[in-house]
Amino acid sequence: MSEYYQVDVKSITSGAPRSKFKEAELETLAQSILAAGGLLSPLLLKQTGIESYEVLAGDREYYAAVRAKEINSRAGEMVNAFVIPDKMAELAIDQFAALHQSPPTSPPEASAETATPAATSTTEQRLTNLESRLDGALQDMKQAHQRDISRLEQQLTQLQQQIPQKVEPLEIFNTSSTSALLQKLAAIGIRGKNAEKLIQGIEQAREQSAFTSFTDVVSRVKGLGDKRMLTILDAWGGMY
Amino acid sequence: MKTIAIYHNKGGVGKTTTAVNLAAAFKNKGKRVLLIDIDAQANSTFATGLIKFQFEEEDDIKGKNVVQLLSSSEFDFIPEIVRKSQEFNTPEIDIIPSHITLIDVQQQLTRFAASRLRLNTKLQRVEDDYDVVIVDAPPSRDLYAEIALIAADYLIIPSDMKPFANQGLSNVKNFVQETNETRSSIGKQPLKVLGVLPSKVLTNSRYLDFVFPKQKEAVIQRYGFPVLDTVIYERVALSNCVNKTLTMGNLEVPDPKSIFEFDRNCDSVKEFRNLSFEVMQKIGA
Repeated sequence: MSEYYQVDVKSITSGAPRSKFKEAELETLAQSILAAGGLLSPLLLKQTGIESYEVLAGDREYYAAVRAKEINSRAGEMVNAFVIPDKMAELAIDQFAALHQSPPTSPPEASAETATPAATSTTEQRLTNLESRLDGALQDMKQAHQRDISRLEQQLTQLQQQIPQKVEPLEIFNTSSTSALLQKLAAIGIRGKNAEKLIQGIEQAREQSAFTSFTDVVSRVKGLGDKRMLTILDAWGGMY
Repeated sequence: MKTIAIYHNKGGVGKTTTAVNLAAAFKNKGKRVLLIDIDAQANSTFATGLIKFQFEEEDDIKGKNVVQLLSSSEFDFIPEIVRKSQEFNTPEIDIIPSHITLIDVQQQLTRFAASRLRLNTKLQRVEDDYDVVIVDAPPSRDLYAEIALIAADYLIIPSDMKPFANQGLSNVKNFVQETNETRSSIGKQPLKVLGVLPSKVLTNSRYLDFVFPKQKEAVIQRYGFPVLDTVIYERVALSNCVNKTLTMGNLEVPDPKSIFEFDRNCDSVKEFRNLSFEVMQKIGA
């Protein structure tokens, strides 16, 4: 049976050269693949290894998918495809050809030539295609380079954000939510009724006005003596 | 690196308890441990203290969990997703959390040709970073269980030894055979079944003297699985350490602990130490 899958583009190879197809056309198709959220006419693939496939039919679609992945490596990571068992390969290719009313590996030269009668031989056509592809590739490299740099910068800022912010203990007294206080007190062994009383005390006092110093905390929170305050400061001083 | 899957297709047999406490036991022995939760119920994720938020808006796991790990082949590798357990054990363990959204993406992932192998591939990239990887698989016979069994080297099957759980063992056996075919296609050795782990076993002495030995024998005879020497008994501490909370008025914050952190002197601690010792001997870690 032919199974429908989404296959990693990087695991697919094609026997046809990319220069066989017009870059502009691949570009349009690629954009359409990205916009539509997928290739709507799945490739036909032959499985050649555990994670490797070869295009049976749909080379143009394949290169469009490759291009889509170049544009957006996440959205274009996979492509719709049918994985065809060996014994059904010919039948599948025939059906594909019939559906597309052109040879399966449809090179678009024919229509290009009729459009410009004075046009050149296939070789020159391919040269032109190659050239535009090179141009495109250079453009891409520049873009990719810029993208990489901005991504690196993004990652750097993300990393910087991940470095735990050292929170001043006074800040904890002033801003931590009830559940956070509960967890933080539990971490230093203050639990149950004791924790409950202490948190209520802290919340009542800070409602009136924010704590300005540790002395302020001790003087305004009921049931929090110097000794316990020292324990808390020792523990929270190193808390992130 | 040795990867151990904890799996049984019958639920409620102590799978998560085994996974998290075995991970803690290895960590306490100085091993570098990674726990992977691939069950959408996210029980292991909860048990290691990562689900303490009260509201959905505070959910910081949604965008960074096992779902992302399985969805992409070129992004979201283990070092980017891993996090430390919270107030679970001293020292804390590394964990890849799960999320309820794992259910939503199952259909999509089934359509990805490579999703079955992704965990395996991504684990290979951290081969030198961990000594032991424990995978908590879902109690079903689905894609996720398959992914776990493909990625693992060894399998532990927790079972309460009751008739239903034991009848499920033939399913497990078939499933292991099926995944072995996939494994051989990617050049992996067949999954080594370390054995059935008697778990949630009653401490009633009449049961232990008369019924339990028969059940054990039946597993060996009828299903051809070895039975581990260690027995994890049903004990109050073992269920209390997961369900522990901090409360104040109406506020209730989960505060789950490993059994080692909860009560160092209880009998379950000895059982999990024995289990980790037995497993280490069998896998040579």
